[in-house]
Amino acid sequence: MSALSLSQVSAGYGRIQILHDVDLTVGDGEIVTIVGANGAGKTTLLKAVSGLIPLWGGTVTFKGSPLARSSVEARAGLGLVQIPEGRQLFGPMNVEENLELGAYSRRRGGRPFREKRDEVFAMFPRLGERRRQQAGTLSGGEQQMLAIGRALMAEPEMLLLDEPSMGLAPLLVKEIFTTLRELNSRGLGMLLVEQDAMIALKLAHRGMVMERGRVVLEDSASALLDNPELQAIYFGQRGGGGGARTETE
Amino acid sequence: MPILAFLRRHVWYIAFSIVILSAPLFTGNIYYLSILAFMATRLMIVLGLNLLMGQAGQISLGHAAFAGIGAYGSAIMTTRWSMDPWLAMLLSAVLAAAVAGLIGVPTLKLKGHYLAMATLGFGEIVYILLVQLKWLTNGTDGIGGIPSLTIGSIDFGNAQMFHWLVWGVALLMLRISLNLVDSRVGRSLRGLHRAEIAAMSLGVNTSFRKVQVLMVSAVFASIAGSFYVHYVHYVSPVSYTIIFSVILVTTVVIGGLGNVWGAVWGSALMILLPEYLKRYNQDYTQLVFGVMLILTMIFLPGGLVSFRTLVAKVRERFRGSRAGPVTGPEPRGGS
Repeated sequence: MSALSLSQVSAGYGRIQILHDVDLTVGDGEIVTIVGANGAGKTTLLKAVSGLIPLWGGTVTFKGSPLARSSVEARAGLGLVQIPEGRQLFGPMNVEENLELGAYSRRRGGRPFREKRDEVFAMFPRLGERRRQQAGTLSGGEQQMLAIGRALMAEPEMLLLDEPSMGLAPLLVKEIFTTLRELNSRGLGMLLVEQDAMIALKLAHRGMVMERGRVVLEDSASALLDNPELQAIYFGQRGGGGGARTETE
Repeated sequence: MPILAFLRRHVWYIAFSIVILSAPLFTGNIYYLSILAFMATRLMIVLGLNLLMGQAGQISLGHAAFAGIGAYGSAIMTTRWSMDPWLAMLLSAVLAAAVAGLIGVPTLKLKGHYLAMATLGFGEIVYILLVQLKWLTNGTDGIGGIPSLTIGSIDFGNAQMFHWLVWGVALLMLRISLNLVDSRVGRSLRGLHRAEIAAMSLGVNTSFRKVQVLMVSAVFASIAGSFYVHYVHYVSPVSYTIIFSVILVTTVVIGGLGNVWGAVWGSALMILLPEYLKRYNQDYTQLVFGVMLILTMIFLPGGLVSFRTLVAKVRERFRGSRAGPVTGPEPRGGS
């Protein structure tokens, strides 16, 4: 059974429709990535799933229960936790306080804070060293680690990730994605929106290509990586015309 | 040594309590004691407003009206309906909380400073009602003959007894604020202030929390208003104009936005300074407040409590050291 499933989802801002009849499923412990150029509707899709924007049509269900009427915080309580674009840390608060706020929703049968915190520090030792440091003064990579760690404190069953590679050096991106793979091997499902299609597809089990608010291609991640058409458009390889380039700054 | 750890953790709170509560032992002067009493009621209002502004990042420009609800609620219920003062105080606080909820629910769902606009209007409405509803409020003449608070045979009309009562309550509110800031709720408020979307996606019901803190601050203000009228035995609308609301906001900023102790120093300064300036010319007060607000925002953005940061900055400049920039203290209260 799929944990998260979207059916015929449409949504937009004001009077402008962005998403057109999007179907999508993410299974338990599965990583599904959405790739596509700027403005394809990737982030909008994630917002529709997390509840930051209302649905115009269609349904979103998570673990069998429909979400259309649940608030963002209610969805978080169900285990659907978003790591927003640009990380959105609580800048003036220190690392540990950010983690404490991550554990805000006390889910039933949740584990004690210290245990979860120490697990995050074991995963990201650098955060442990800087536990009293203000989140806003961390480096970009450390901030992304903290954003992930903070989300883990909420004991998610599925992570919604919006551009985790944004603004990070390639080496750090690699490190972050290694961590994501490790988390997935423990059974955590993910819906990953990423401009860097190459690295996203290497991590994901399945991938979807979005264009102008529609899913135009859906396949296993390995098949998409080998798809010559996609290579031409998104990976900027020889013969490729316009389209998004991989982000490497 | 758990006792020692407890003492160390709360050293400032304990020291402050001892100093303030022992004041009547050193002076029986009614004037000095009244200034201290006004400081206490001011502190109650500012503590609540400081939680709202500093933690949740929302501005209320109508906090005078919440104090006015407490003041007039107590005055009307005790003089006209001969109600027990304590019950009147409680009912007024409930009313203030209900009104705060009514204003907060629609405005705090919206992003941005809609609460500031709504409370600005609300403050004006309350002021107009206080002046115009003559059958109830006696208009601009105000209401006199408000009884003192009593418990059994203890009469809090006595300045010293009142001092202990009003400061006891103010210290309790200070403790509540300090604990709140350092709690899960306090963190969620600071979190939604900084990154609302992130707070929401971690399960914080942000609009509910904002309404909650607005209601708490309204209750603090209302209780302060009630204590005030039971002390001066008189109330009139001029005490609850927009000017007072602005002074309250100024007090929060000058003391230290988001720092609970800032509310203490801010209240002390904003009560003492006008008393001092009054000897020269009443009109100076507003001017001095304005200048102080500007200077605070330029040189002491963290308020009076961040004075050490300013000293460090100045020292650094004189030394011309190349050390990293001095970062301000976190906007939160220590214990």
